[in-house]
Amino acid sequence: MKTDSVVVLLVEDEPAHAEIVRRNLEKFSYDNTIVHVSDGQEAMDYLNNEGIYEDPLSNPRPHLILLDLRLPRVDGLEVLKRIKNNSQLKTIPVVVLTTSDTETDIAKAYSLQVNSYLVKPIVFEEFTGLLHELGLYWINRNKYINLEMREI
Amino acid sequence: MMKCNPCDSKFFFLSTVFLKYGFLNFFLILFTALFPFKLTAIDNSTNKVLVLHSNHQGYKWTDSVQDAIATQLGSVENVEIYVEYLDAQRYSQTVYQEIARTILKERYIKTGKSFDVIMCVDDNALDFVIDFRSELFPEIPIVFCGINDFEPEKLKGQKNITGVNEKISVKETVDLAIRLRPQAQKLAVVSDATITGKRNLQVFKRIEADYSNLLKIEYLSELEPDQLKSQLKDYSVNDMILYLSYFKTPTGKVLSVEESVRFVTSSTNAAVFGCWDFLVPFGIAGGKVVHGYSQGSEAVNLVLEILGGRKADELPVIMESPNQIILNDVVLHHFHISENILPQDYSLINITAEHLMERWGDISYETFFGYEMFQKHGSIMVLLDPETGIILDANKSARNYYGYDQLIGLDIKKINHMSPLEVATEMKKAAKMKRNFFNFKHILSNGKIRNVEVYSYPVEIAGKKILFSIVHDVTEKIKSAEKVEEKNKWILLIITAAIVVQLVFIILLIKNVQKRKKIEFKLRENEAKFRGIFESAFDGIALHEIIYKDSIPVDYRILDVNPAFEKNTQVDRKKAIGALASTLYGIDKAPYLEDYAKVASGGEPLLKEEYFPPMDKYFRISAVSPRPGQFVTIFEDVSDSVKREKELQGKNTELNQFIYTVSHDLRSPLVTIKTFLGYAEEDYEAKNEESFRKDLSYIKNAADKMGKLLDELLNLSRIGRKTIPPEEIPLKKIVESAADIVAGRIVVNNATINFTGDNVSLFGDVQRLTELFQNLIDNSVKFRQKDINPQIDISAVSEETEVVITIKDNGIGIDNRFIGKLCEPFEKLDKNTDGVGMGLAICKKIVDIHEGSLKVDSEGENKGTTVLVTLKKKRINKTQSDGEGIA
Repeated sequence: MKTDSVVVLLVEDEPAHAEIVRRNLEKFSYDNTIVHVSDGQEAMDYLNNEGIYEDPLSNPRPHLILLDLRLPRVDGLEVLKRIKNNSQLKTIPVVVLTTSDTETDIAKAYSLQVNSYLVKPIVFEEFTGLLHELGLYWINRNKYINLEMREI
Repeated sequence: MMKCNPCDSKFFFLSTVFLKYGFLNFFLILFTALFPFKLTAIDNSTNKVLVLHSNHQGYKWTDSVQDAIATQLGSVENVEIYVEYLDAQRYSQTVYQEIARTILKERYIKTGKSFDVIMCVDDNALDFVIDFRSELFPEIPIVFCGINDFEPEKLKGQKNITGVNEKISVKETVDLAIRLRPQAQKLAVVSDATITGKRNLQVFKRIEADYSNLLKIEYLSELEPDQLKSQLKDYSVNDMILYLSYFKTPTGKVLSVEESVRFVTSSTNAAVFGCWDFLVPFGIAGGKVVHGYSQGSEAVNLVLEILGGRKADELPVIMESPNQIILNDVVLHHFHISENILPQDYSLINITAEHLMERWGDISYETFFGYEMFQKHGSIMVLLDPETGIILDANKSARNYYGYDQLIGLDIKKINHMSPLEVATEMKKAAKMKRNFFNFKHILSNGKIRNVEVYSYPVEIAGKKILFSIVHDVTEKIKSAEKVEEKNKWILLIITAAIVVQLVFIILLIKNVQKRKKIEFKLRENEAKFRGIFESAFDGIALHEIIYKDSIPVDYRILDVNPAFEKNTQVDRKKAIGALASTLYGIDKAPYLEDYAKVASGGEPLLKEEYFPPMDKYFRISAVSPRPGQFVTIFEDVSDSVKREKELQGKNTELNQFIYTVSHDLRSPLVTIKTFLGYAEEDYEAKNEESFRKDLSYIKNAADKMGKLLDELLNLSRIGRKTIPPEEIPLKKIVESAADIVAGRIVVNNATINFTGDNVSLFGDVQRLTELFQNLIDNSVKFRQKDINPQIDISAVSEETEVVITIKDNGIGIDNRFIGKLCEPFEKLDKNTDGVGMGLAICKKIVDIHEGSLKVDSEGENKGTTVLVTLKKKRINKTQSDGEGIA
């Protein structure tokens, strides 16, 4: 794992969707590493270096979290809430990537201080386009806090 | 007698005219006597004769010809007469010819009727028959009459035809006029633009020269009525007028014979002469006239010859028109023409009674005396010709009364101011009532209309029937009778009015009393009604009085409550009345005291829905103040409906949540499918087979998932929608059949099920309950620990109102943190198991519709799961108690 590349935590219960994201980010050769977890509890475990994700070296803190909302066990909004309520984690940008475009979800997510809210389009070109732009912006352009800052 | 089929007889009656034999004038009898019928010459077979008239029935000339035919031919045995009228005076030639052709064809040709002789009366009929003879009547002999100035040319090419010529005797008439008016200086000739008028004028002009030395001849040709009238006025009593024709005015107005002749004779003082018999009765002095009856009679003789076997062509056309001298006695009398100068052969019409008596010597003394009486009597008396209605004589009183210059000779119909129908009706009425007089209205010369009673008696003078009429003027009598009647009417009216006024007064009085009674009744009724409402209302009603302390409301006292109060509050009515609210409800402060105090002090009425903690109930309360310091509350226990409303709200939230979940979960595989289709396309283009297969498998999985989701969704929606009548069934049976359904999974996983609770029965939808246990057992097997064989213990306890069932397994258990989410649809705790997360959601739903509860418990991961299901026992009792509550 390249230490200087952008670590992206992908929280996605749908393997197919995870595959889509993975394929796109790979295709455009962004300088990143994708870590995929498939439910909310797993995501929290990873972020807190608990359970199977105990080792902080092999499970580094992500620069960016791509979060689905409908998740088994602990759902996405709950994950978001826990991240943003955690002083250690709240500085990590969270981009919600979901199929839900209901007003209440959008409002809830922003009130929980989500950094961006994206809806998975049904049209192929739009989805790939969206992921292209996402990579361009969040991986290439966006600046992240130095990893050392997590100790602060 | 005739070929008899129904059609024939119908046509026979329609077209055959039988005229009664009647004497017009007595000379006709003499005339017909001169031509005895040759009855013997006709054989026994029926002879049919068709008479075709040019003009219409009612036209005097036509009628008189027809009279002769009907009289003389109609009396012959074995002769049937058919009569048709072309009506040529009133219709154009094309119209009447076309109509006649059709009628004759339909009536006679189509029905196979064949005639022995056709009789044509006047020119139009002969012209028509000659034109259509080959089509309508080939070979049938023709006899004509009334053909003006007949010339043999007319029959060119025709065979089997003969008849009678008609020619007016102008010269003879002028000679007659000169004979009767020897002092005459002037002769005016009246003619019009009709063919007859022009031809007659020509005839006259041919002989004009014979008289130019004798008379001053003036022509009054084709004049408008007013011009003619003013010119005729200039002629004196001694002058003469020759009437040739005036049937049509230059502007086209057609005059009847009577109208025309009366117009001319009444416009002049001079004597008028004419050449046709039908002119004479209306004021013409006379003439050598063409005579319709004679024409008809001569033609009949020819017909009889033919029927007797002679050929028509053997009988020469009778060229000598059988004209007669006819004089009008009334006119002769008027002009004082002496009998001495009359010609030898003549007939008289309109013979005055006076003249009759003068002419026939056999007048008795009584008759003569009677005539004196007639003339000098003060009563109005007239003698009438019963046939024509012409006044033959009138006494002095009558002449004075009516005031007409020439009362004698006038038609009584002109005096009668009633229509012919009215006259006929009155005559019938008189006969019915056996009255010996008629009530008529007569018009006097000054235009006044008088009511008269006419007493008529038929008398015979010298063999001639005459109507002797005495006229009583009853106008004044009727008027005074009407006046009396009117006076009586007024009296009656006043009396009636007085009675009506009194009646109205009485009715008003009664109404007033009734009204008062009604009001009283209404008041009592209202009171009773109100009491009824109070007693029987479903709503609780309570009257209260506010208790003030230092003019601050501190409590209120209950003054009265209705029976429903008891039911709604479960508070005893007797206990409530008179009690203070705080005491009654056992609280420090009376409920809603401030609100009620506001109402009682004249505030707005109140309507609210409130939770009332002392009773744990929701009430809808309205409060009004009947008088200051008091208030009435009307309230209803709405706890049930509030509860229902809350339930409904909960359900709505649930539904919204559900829709959200479903739309999200359905959208997800759709995104997968669409996206991987895009990839598949790309991989196909790049011929990347491995990747392509992967794409397809993603698509397949997503589609499968979608299908499963939809199935489950359908299943979930079915629960609670179908209402299957609930039934009681042992729990054991349900568990057994549930285990049967998932037997496959049980066997594969080597699972065991222990059941205790043999005596427990469930009540509800058996299919759904089975589904509940099927899902629970399935879950227990599905979420097994890898190394331990699944064991499921199902136990049940029947308590007082409910059954508690425990399903305990030794499976993977549940992290306590996630238990709350368990029963939501599409929630999966373990992403590795198959299914879409509907199992427990369905279980929850089934329990809900059975008004039960479902609880999932686990001591932690790998420590097994316990599901606690509580189901209500029978609900029948509950519904029964509900019913009582309503009653």
